[in-house]
Amino acid sequence: MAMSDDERHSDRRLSEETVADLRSRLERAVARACPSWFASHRDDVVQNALLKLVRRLEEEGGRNPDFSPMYLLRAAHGAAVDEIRRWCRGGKTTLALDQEVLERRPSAEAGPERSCVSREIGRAIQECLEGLVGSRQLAVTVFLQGSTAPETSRRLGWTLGKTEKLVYRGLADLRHCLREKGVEP
Amino acid sequence: VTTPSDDRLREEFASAQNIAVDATSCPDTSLIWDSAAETLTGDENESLLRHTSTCGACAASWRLARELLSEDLPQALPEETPDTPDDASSRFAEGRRSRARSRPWWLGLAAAAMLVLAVSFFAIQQFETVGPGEPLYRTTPGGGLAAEIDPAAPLPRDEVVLRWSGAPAGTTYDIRATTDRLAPLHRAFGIEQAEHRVPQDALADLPPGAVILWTVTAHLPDGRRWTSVSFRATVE
Repeated sequence: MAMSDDERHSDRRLSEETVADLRSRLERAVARACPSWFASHRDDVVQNALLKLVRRLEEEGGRNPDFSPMYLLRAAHGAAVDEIRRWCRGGKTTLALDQEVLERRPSAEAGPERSCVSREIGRAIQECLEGLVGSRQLAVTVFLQGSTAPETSRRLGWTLGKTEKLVYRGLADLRHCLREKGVEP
Repeated sequence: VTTPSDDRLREEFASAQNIAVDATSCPDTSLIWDSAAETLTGDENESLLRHTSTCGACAASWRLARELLSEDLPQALPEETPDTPDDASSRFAEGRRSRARSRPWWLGLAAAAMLVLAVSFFAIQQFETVGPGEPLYRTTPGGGLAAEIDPAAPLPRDEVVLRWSGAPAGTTYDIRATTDRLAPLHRAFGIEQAEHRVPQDALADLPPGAVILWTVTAHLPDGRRWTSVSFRATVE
């Protein structure tokens, strides 16, 4: 993907290596964290996030010219989240992207029909999660976000035993709720 | 109806592309980052995670932060091994069981004995090195930061002064206040006193008796940074 004028302009403060490293890290992370429905928008999110990031850093550069790698990563995340939220609100990104082009772009991992079904199941899971008892809801949410038992217990400050119990019971409740809704993931 | 695999559940959960109806209720991106980095704790972290259970955009944002951090913080990565079964719940438990299986019984006993010795030695060291007048700063997240206000006592709106203690002289502070649903209310940086008045207009939309959550980040003179747990305050 070619570097835009904005990015070249920002090179006064961010080296090409830094931008390239941020881009590749963002691309990898977005690919892993964002699901199939986002497949056709990943490049746009990464590109827009980088644009936004370099603009922001340019503004801040006078006050804080030394950006630590962690600061850059955090700022890149903030810019990417803005893009994700914007996309979820209206399917549009900060760049004036041609919506028709976006719609024509084939999804890398799922057809439109499958994506639609997935979205419905995803919503059903959310609704069922909302109905779970407090601690089970938390445990299952962290689990569904990809965490293992030790990580979940650490994140929630619970013992491993308590965490495992809550996840298993919470998942049982979740499946029961989905069955009642007639949903089969 | 077949029981869906846990991996499938994760996949489908991630497919929700909705955003909270009231988008202003979505937490600040810095809070999402802090939660994924495990520096957000207590009520604030729990409220945020609950939010991700119903907001697809914030759930994706949390996963994105976790992925970005995972390259720098290996301990945040899932403990997966190639030999474990495919099902995620099996992997979830396997992290615990596989370690237990490979550990000889006497190793546990030896470890317990070492732990007792180490704790005793550490306790003796503490008593010997810290005099009665010397402050002892903890190294746990939040350091020694403690709130100095009663969380249940309602504060007048024109006098919401948050006070804290526990950091050495010369420390500067950043403060962040949110609603109990994590909507941002107020932020301030570079505070030199261990107290801060929240501007009245920042509280204008809060109903009577509203609870606010606030955290303090202390920048110590030696370069360390402490972030407090989430404190509460009640507004009249």
